[in-house]
Amino acid sequence: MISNIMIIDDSPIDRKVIRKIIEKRLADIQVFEAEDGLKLNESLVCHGIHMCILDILMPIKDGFQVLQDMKKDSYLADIPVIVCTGIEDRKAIEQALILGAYDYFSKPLSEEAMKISLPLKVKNAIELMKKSQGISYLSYHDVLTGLYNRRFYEEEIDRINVKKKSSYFHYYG
Amino acid sequence: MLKEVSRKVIAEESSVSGKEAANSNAFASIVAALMGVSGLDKAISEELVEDFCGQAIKLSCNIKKHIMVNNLTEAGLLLHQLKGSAGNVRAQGIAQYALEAELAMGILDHERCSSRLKKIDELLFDFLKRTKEE
Repeated sequence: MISNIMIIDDSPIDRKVIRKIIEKRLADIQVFEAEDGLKLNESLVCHGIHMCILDILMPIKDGFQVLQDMKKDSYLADIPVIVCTGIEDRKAIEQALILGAYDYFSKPLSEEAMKISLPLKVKNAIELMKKSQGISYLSYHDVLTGLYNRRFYEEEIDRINVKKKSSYFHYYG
Repeated sequence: MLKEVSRKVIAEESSVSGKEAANSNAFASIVAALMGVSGLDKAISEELVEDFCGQAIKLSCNIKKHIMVNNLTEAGLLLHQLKGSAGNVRAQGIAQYALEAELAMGILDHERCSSRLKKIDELLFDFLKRTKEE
């Protein structure tokens, strides 16, 4: 089964280096790229992304804002995000982990990161997401029929209410 | 587009020949270093370094434009990007000069910043001459 990953970085060279490293070491990977965090949420949902690699220092919308937006969105909150930033920027890494990043790596990429840790972190993040999706499926579907269950509809109605800032719908059993 | 720009730069520089062998070695040593640390094959490493040169020319021009209009925030972001990309493809000379330019910009030392940007351009021209030889 193909795994989809998204690289969000304003530098086309950095995106390409990371893409080549991952494609070399991991099989059945489809890589998508974004040069900024604008309109990212729609893109993540529509490509069925399993994990993201996110640069912190970007113009327009930085990695912290992207991470915060993802964590606020119930459809995206579980996607593991690996952040990257300059090797000297320890505070940024700490801040990203506080905001819910799955892991991090530093730039420039070390030999160890290129050959071992980055591909393995990506692989582990994808596996985590797939397991999470499996659990989520079981939570929201009826095992016998495969249809959405009561919990799904209750939560979906809550989401619609929050989105519309209203309480048009009420669900009581 | 970038390749066209690269070729123009190479054409302009072709009259100042003399160090071609050294230039070729400089490019080859960066490619070899990238291959060594990344495990990527030669063709991909060469492609990455060539792409980097094209992007670095563009970044260098934009950094100077932003400095000229005193937009140091944007110039600083682009310098940071140049430093990071140079480090990733193991263009250590450019990464070092970009770091020095970034530090100089931080303390508003424009003279030192300009001199480091000039050094970056010189290194880039050297790398691009390698394409001309091929």
